[in-house]
Amino acid sequence: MRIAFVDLVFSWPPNGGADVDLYHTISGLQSAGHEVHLFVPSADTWERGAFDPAALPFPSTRIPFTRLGLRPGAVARGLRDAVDAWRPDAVFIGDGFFFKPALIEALSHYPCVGRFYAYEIACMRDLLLYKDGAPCPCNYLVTPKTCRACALEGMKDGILRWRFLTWTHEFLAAGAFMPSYHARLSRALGKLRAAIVYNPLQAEQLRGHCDRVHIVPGGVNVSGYDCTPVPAKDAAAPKIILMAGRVEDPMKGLAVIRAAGERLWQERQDFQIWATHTDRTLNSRWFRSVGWHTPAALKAFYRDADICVVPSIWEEPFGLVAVEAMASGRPVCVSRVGGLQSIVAHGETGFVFDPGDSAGLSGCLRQLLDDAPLRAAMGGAARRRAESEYDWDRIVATHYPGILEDLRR
Amino acid sequence: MNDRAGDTIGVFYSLGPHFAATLGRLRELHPDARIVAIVPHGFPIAGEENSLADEVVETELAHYSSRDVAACLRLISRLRGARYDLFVVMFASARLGLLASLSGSRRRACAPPQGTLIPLESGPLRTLASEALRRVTGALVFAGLHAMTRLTRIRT
Repeated sequence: MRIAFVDLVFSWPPNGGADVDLYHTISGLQSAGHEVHLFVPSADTWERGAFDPAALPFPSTRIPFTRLGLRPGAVARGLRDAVDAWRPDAVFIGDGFFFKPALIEALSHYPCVGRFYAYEIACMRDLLLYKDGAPCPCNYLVTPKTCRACALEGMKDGILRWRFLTWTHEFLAAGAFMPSYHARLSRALGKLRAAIVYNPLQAEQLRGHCDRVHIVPGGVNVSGYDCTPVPAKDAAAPKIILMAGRVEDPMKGLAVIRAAGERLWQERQDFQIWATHTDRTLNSRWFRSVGWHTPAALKAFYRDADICVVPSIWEEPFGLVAVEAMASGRPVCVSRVGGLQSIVAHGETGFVFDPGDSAGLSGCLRQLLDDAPLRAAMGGAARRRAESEYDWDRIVATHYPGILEDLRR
Repeated sequence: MNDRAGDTIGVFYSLGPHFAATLGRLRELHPDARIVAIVPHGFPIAGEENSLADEVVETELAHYSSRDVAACLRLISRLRGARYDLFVVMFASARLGLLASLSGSRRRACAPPQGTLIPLESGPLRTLASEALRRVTGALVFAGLHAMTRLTRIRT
């Protein structure tokens, strides 16, 4: 099958999990014998189309636009012309924000699948579905007036300063503040043959707008992670508890792990919390900001760690960091949110605790710190689960044949 | 950004993941220059940064706010006194652009996380005028959007 992938913001090296997901999906489908081609608009910005086609393992085309030329109609036409020239059997529409309806309309003469990596359809404010320190129950498809006002409030500072990133640029350029945008989005979603999401909450949000919604997890190349046994440290040796990812983002729950650490430090001094955080002013006897690291360098931190923690307090769509830790053979404690909660088998490969519950997290950590055989057993089980559920080859082989078969009909 | 032996480069720290990478990049581009890392008061500099910079100087305050006018003026005066040949900030924000333009350096640049080095050529007046124009544009657009969200209905 000839499959065109169209992504509005892809960059490589990746700017986030969506780029990584698309990269592995395209590579996997190419390895499975499909003809693939990636089309991406590029502009003079790090957020869109910043990659060298020669550095990718699959064919790709960057379609250049000036910043002023980045309008939804022009972008959709440019991509449609490039895709038409390649003549695919089906089109996968990857990441993008408010330009997506125009893109879906422009490519609707093909069987189209839409990939949604976060809450970009439900949450106009910032795709995070998180407001005032808590997950937000709204959905733009259902409560458009509330969400539109909330979006404008959320973008207020950027618009007033007239400095903003791609999200706000697309909001303004696509006229997503206009009453007609809601109907345009609904119509476009109806034209998708299928949608792919990470978790059941995203699937629920699309209910009634897209007939077929597939839940497909993200993954890692498990073989690329060394699975060293969890170090068998004696009682006095400090155990390393690692929090990796974009730790600066308050939604990632640094405050939760720090509160848990503070509580534990009152009763024991046999651990250190390491976080991939750049603010070293937070460093203390039990907490260390280890700075930001590339995915390759991060593997060494997983190797040194005894326990990994992902304490997110928003509805994390997936939770790649948890899977990376599992692939490294480490027990993982995650909060019960979004797609994250289904990655860890509670009591088997780690623990799941309530979001924001630092006491609950410190209880999980206490149990793991006290019990070296438990750490080792959970680490081994975590690796096996990563191999069986979250290896890219396995994900592509398990989930995509059915989706492609539907498109052929 | 041509290299000149004996140049002094001031790199002004901002919280971000690319401080060490910026020092490393400048070291590559200007192997003979003297690189000064300007970090907040009490900042725990790491070994890698220490080895990349020839000198580390601390600012008077850990955090600057535009309300601390006297402290800001002292910072500017200190930067001007250091006579950096190249002054580098880490983000293209209005405040850092203004600081760079007031630093007294002949050459100024922004080193965003993407690893590029973008020259900052505007002087202080032009930087302020450009910022004012941005604010007026932003205020007008926001007023229009606000009115639209109040006055129009979305049919579901």
